[in-house]
Amino acid sequence: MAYLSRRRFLSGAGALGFASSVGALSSLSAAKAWAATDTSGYKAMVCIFLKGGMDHADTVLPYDQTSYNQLVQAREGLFGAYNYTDAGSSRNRANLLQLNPANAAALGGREMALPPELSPLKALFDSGDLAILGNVGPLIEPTTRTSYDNGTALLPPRLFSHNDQQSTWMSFGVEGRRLGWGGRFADAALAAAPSSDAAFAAISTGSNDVFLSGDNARPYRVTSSGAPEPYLTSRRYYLGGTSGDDEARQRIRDFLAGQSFNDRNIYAQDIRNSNGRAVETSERLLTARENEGPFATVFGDSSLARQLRSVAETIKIQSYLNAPRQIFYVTTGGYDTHNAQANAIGGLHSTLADGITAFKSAMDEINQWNNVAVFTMSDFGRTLIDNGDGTDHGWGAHHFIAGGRVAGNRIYGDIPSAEPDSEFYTPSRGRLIPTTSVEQYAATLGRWFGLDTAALNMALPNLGNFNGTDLGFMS
Amino acid sequence: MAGILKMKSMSTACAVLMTGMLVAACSGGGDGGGGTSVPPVPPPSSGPPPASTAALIDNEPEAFKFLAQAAWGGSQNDIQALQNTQAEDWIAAEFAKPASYTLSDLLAVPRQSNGNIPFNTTTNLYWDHLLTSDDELRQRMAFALSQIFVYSDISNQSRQTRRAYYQDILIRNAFGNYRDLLEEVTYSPAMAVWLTYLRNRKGDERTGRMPDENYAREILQLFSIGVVELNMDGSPRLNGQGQEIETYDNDDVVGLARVFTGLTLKGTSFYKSDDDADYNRLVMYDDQHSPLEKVFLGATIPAGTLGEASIDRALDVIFEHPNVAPFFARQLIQRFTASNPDPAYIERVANAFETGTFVGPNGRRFGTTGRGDLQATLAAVLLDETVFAPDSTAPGLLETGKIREPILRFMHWARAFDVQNIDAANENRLRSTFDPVSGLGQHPFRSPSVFNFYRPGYIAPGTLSGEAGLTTPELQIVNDSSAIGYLNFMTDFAFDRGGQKDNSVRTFLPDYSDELLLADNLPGLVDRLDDLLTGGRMSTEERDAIINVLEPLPIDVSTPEREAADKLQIVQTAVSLVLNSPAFAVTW
Repeated sequence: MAYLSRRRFLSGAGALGFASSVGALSSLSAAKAWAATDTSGYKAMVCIFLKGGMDHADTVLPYDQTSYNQLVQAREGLFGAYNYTDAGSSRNRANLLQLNPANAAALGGREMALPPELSPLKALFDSGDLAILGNVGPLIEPTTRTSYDNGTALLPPRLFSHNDQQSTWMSFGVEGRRLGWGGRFADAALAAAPSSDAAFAAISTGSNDVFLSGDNARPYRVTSSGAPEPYLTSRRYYLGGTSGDDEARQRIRDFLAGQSFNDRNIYAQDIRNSNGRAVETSERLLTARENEGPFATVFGDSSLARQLRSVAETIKIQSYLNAPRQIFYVTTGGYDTHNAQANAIGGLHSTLADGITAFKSAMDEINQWNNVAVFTMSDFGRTLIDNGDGTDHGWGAHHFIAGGRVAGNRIYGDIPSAEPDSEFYTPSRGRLIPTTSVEQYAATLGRWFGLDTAALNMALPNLGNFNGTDLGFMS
Repeated sequence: MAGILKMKSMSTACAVLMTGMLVAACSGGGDGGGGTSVPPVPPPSSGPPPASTAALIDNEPEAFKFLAQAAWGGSQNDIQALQNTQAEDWIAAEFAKPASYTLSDLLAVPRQSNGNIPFNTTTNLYWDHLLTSDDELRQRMAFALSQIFVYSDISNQSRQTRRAYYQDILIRNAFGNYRDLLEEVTYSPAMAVWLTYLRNRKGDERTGRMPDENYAREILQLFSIGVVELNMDGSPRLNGQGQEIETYDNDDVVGLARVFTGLTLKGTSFYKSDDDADYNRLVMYDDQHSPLEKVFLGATIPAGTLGEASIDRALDVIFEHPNVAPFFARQLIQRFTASNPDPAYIERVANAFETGTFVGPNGRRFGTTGRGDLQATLAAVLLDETVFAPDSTAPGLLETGKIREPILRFMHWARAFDVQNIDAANENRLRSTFDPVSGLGQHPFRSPSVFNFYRPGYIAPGTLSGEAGLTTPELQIVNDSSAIGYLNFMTDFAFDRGGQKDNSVRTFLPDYSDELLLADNLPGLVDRLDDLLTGGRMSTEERDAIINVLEPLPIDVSTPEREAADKLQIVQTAVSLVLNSPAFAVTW
């Protein structure tokens, strides 16, 4: 019972390993498929990675009395920590924000809600700007409790391990992969628009994770001021004011930017190449920023808000950057709520919701909301059964997609009921077995971004194992 | 195309290299292994046998390199002092030095009126400690361990004694045994809070509550055995189908999670702790410890085993796993000498860990505590034949050496110029060096997660080393913005403009007196800095380019003050640019 939409089985699908597909294609056919990518107009994807493993079951909660009671029963310790029977508790059923999705019929009579801290996202959901994708996670092929139990399912390696599952979400392999699907999508766009600037196709506001790494695309890190400049050349404070000092500044700039020396050591050469590129790229970005002023929108003080402001500022100058397709990568931490979850997750939710809301407001200012898709990813969901005051590493999880072209006010995928002994979960602790693969999630975004089926199949090696490569949440 | 190493100061180096090669051939460590090798020439019969030159430091570039690898770098005097010494003697002397600790200094700091320790005191004192303590190798080892047994204060910087107590655990055990270290880490309040097993209770069948699995998972994945079975050379073992073999599965984690239940802070009850609990060993409450059978890694701890006995047995089981030696060896090598360690090198270090013994080129024995001995393991890292081998003359880029993490580079600047008035509390920029644009992208004991600042298996996309499949952990925190951020951070300190809390007190003052004498001799100045900061590894092209940059800087001789200020500016600029050289960032 209580399964949103019965998962479809794929009959006779060959089990493709993670290492397959991409490498097997000739570079010629790869180039051809990439080049068919639509790069007309401007589009940006913005990934918000929730580091640590977001607890899906404390983010999208069942609301009808029966389903709610099941959740409380499965998480007695956690709900106790919330004092959920108190009238003021955020997890008291009366205080949850009931969702009224346009596709309510697909829920089979069950109702869902968001916690009060996510009320800004509730508003976006109601206005049709936000969708929820239920129970998505890494899969190689469609997997059931039966195929999991009897060992016939081909499973992603190192489930439940932070770094490996982050890597799997980003690159379909455990830690150490070279290419992420964000970088592959950017590669596709660069191949289709070869005159665009590869430096600004894939942009990070923080860590150097594999998600944005492509063959041609390489993650560029923007900062709160856009890009840093060498003090020696940009701040008069460091050298004097004579003409000789000015001449030295110019020579330092040329020296730093034009480092073409040959080093004897491969690591030194790598650092040299990075140093030389850094100065020139900074200069291009800072020159572009001179064309635009600040937003009226006030972003918050959280790290996430500051990162999203940097993304918004970069989108604002996109026409000067010569990058018709951009993929942004933003991270926010704290989701590994093994303990004190009741104290922590409300703040995390507020930060996330406020950040996305401010970002939408900024995009509205520059009429770009229809050209962006903001979406969440995370290491994994968490165990349905708690450990007293927290939860442990799981597998499938629920995620958010927001943007002007999101077919919002809908719940896609499945939100299984909170019955840890049921077929929706692994045998111990209640870890959701995903019913939608990360690759289906990515493909839906990628198709909107401009990739065609051939290109998607190149970027997403196991996509062919699944029916339904367009989940319908982008229009 | 390969760059050209300057030949300055290379004549002595070449002589040493040749001697080194002869020794290598004698010990069978040269090329090929089998085949016909030249038999060793017997020493002359009179007098003691000559000392081995395999790890003899007899020129400045070697002294520079050794200080960069084994210490925090050094000044010209430090480089000179190492001339004609044996590396193993230096290591033995470091092993014999008394340890210097950090908690006692912290506790001696006057409390604020509210009873708290002033904010950021632990981390300020740690900088000072690293820069002033004499037991350099021990502190280097503790810093290396802090990046393997990762505790971070990133989410809570108010409980400062926790961190200092944890620092001291790493310092105390740096030259001890891995098994003792693992136990002290496990019983530390810092780790218990960080990995959420503090007051972790046994499961409850009625509510379905299960023990927290966090520490059980991470102690296996990160602190001991890793996720796949390894050969002694660090390569993955493969099964009959050519696939890697996972070391544990989720059932092992569930089983091991029961072990780490019942621990709490020292105090009067499970929930009530003493004031000094943050810097005392955790306490076991057996009534909160899981009485169930604990099955993991093929071992079974019987039902009813008490808490401390369970932990003791579990740590033995983990320690006895054959993965520990190669897993630990590879990471330790990466922290000292090589970003992408050669498998044979890993195996030699792993063997030292496994046997608890390492014998230096002159027959000195390291290691007294048996399997897991960290002195033996560390000596094997620092004295390995590849560390002292001459550079390959084969065409193409060298793939040896280590990208030094930014903290090591900052420390090296401070040591190279014998920085005076060390007081990190007065340096705004040292408060947190975590941000890659305003700081170093790294701060001691402040990693973003238990996975450290970078991962040992990281391969950098879009790089030559990445194309070659070489691991480069430190490149994981390098990007276009951090490259400039690093330059700016170092420029601030090189120019003594770190942003001082109290401007009237000048702290972190570098001694440029020798360099100032060369301010009107730019080739001499840059060569001097090349020797001091890169061991003469800077390419001639870069050397010439830096001289060209400095040429327009004026020297106004109209007054002695102006002349001195202008000369200082030339030296500061030159230092900043050499600190930005890849030859300073990489030690090979």
